[in-house]
Amino acid sequence: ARAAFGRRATARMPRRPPQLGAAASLGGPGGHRRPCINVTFVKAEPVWEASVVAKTGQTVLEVAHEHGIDIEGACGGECACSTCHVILEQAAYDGMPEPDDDEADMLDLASHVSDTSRLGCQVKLERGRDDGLRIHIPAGVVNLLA
Amino acid sequence: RAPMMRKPKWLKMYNPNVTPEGAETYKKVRATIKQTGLATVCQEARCPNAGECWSSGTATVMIMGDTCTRGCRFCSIATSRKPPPPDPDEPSKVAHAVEQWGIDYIVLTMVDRDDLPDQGAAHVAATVRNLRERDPKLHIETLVGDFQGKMQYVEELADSGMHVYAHNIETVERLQNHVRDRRAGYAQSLSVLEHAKKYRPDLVTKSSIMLGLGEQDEEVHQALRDLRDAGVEVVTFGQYLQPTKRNMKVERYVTPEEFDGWARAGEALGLHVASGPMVRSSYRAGEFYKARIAKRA
Repeated sequence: ARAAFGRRATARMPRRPPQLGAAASLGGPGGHRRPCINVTFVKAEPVWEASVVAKTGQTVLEVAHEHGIDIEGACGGECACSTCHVILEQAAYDGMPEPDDDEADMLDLASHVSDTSRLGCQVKLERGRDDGLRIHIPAGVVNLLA
Repeated sequence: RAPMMRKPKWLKMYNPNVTPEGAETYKKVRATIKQTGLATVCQEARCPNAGECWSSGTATVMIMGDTCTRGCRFCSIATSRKPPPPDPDEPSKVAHAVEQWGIDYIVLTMVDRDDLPDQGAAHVAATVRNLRERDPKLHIETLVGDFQGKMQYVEELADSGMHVYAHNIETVERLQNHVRDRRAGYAQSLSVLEHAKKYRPDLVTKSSIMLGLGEQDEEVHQALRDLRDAGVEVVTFGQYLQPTKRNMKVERYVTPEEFDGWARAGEALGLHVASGPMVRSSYRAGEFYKARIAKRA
């Protein structure tokens, strides 16, 4: 049945490149090797942490989805909703350029929004700056019951 | 990762290969879609009924492309702030597909186009008019957006010649912000439905609600009353199913008995109701129309 949907639907499925070691660079479609960093997703309720390997240039949302981290991305990363809302720690937030007006507008709609909130789809990871980044997933985004 | 709720036994997809005729028809519909390059909500929203509908010779075409300007949590249709411009050949492509399928009832749906000055109203209206001109016997149902509540576009569309004007409220009032894009709203959707009916009383207006998003029974009863008060005649209820991992989770699987209860509740208010876990707005819409609406008056 999946084949029947043709290229259009399946083209949006993310590629799952093979995972090597934490320090290794991973190949992309053009054969370019992109440097990798480690980032950690954190939840408070229930308490839970997951450290994963991210490629620089990926957004927080892309990394989350690649590793099966439970963050919604209803609009597919187009800055048109607030479901990929994440909270960074103050130093990390300050070290990044501020959200633009479009992102700020969307953040206004997020539940549990804070002064160090960002949309996961708008944060592009950089080598050095974001190695060891801790990304907090707010309680209210993922589950209506929270 | 939180464990996924297992799907209940009553949620079954229809296999189009069950009969050879069905399999042939399915392939024919699929080929037409590929050949014309039309988008279908069946594919883009990952509808579980595609096997059933396509094998019985119909599909719900989605016009103005496969990319929407809104990002509702329940929907897997692609989103962009600025989708590509609508295809000017689309009205004739749609007419060609309908001709190939040889059907007498078509449901057209659309993506929201908040980026276009008229929200796409002229394009949708032209598509409907074109269909009516080419086949005056064709019955047309349009499942449309809210045009941001701008009534001049609702009227432009209502004048174009469809038989059923459908717009979905999607869920109860309390959950609108949780579930739909920020630009959509309960009052706005109801006012669009109400206005379409007042403006063209000969139209049948229709709406749909997804269950399993966290709604309370009394809220659903209220939604039915609100729809009835807005002049809506047809309501459908279906089970929300999470289309992709990027969409919101199912809060609850509502039982078939409860779905039957909602059908009774709606009918007690004088509404025509299609209600079941796999029911969707356009599911068997033609049959429903002939069975219920064509008979009235």
